[in-house]
Amino acid sequence: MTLFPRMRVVANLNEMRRSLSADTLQEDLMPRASRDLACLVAVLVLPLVNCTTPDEVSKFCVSASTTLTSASVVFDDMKLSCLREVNSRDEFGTFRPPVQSDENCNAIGDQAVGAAAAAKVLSDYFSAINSLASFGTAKAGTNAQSLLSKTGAAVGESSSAQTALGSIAQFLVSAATSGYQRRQLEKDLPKVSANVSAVVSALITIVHDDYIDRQLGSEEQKLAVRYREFAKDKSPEIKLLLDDRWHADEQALAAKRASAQSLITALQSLSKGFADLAANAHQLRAKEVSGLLGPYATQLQALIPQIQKGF
Amino acid sequence: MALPSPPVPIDAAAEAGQLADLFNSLSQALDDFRLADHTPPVPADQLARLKDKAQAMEDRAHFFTAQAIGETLQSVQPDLANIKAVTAQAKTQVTVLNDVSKVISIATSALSLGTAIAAGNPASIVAAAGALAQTLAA
Repeated sequence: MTLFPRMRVVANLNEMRRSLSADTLQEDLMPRASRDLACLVAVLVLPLVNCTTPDEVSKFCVSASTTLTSASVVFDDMKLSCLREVNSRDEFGTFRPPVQSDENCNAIGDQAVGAAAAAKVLSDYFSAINSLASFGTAKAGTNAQSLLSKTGAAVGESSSAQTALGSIAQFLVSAATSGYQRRQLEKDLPKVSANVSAVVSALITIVHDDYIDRQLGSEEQKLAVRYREFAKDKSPEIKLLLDDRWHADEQALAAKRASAQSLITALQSLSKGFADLAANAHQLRAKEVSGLLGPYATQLQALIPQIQKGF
Repeated sequence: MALPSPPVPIDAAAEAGQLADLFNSLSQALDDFRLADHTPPVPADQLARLKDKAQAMEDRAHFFTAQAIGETLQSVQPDLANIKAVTAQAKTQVTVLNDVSKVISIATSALSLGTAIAAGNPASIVAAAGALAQTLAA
């Protein structure tokens, strides 16, 4: 990708030179030294004011950021699923209010908060890229360091994903405080791409292994135990009623699994799209960037409602 | 004389996940046992004890899922394979046993192992793993 497509810059430069020579910089009005200085300033400033922002970079980054924000419904349900499971230990008909807190579920909740914080760091990163692509500088203000203190609970304090998050957080702080500009971005993209990939991979493991397989799987098993226990020695009519209710509960769990699976697909797409962007940062022109990122952005936009559907 | 090489770091998250799966399976096996038909029927108080054990085992599985035990697992790394093996064996035995007293003994012993891991004391963990192995062998 080139965030400053060369052809446009050259065309704009020529246009400005023509304009300059036609107006204020005529031989008879300006000494040669001053004219050269004005041209030099024009050459330096042109890329910053006249480059074309590839809309697809912006579109991709907005979609990626929204995807990561929408992931919170999945992470929130990790603790809720644990609590549903704990509440399913009561037999039907005990009519006790559900517990809202449980020591072990709280530990899962801490992990989920960490995962959401990791997603937020990534989301802030894509917002910063969007800001750089659209306005030339990253928007100020990030709580990346505060988020970083929570992410270790989810990805492991000494894991490669935590190191990668530290690197991304550092980028965000520096982008917000040191006037990071988009021309630095092309150089940094390949390095950051590996970090994004490491964090996404850790998030996928949490969603797939810990949430879908482990937590929802365990919730389903214990729910089945609750029905089996209650159905024992009951009449066929009551068993049929229970069977209906069991299928409704199963559908709700299946919907949550499908949503989480959509999140995994979205995270894979987001990571792949960004890796492609980084790998081609110095080679592609605006039209090619559009062709490269368009399908990823479209896929992400289609997946966002699917992620939220089951909750 | 060459110094012994330091232990290779384990993937603590993956190991914690495997332990969570093992304790979850054991919990499920206990539930299957108490919900199955037995001859003679299992007394109600023993069924209640099995239910409590199954739920406590599930609590341990939740704790392990939260990956809060990475450091502990690192400290018992040489015994980790044995800990997982005896826990898996406990589940296998529960699925084939018909003796409720033996099932309760296994559940009690396995739960002690889970509690020791959660507490993070390496000596207690190794002792509890040994005790579970003895219960299984009895």
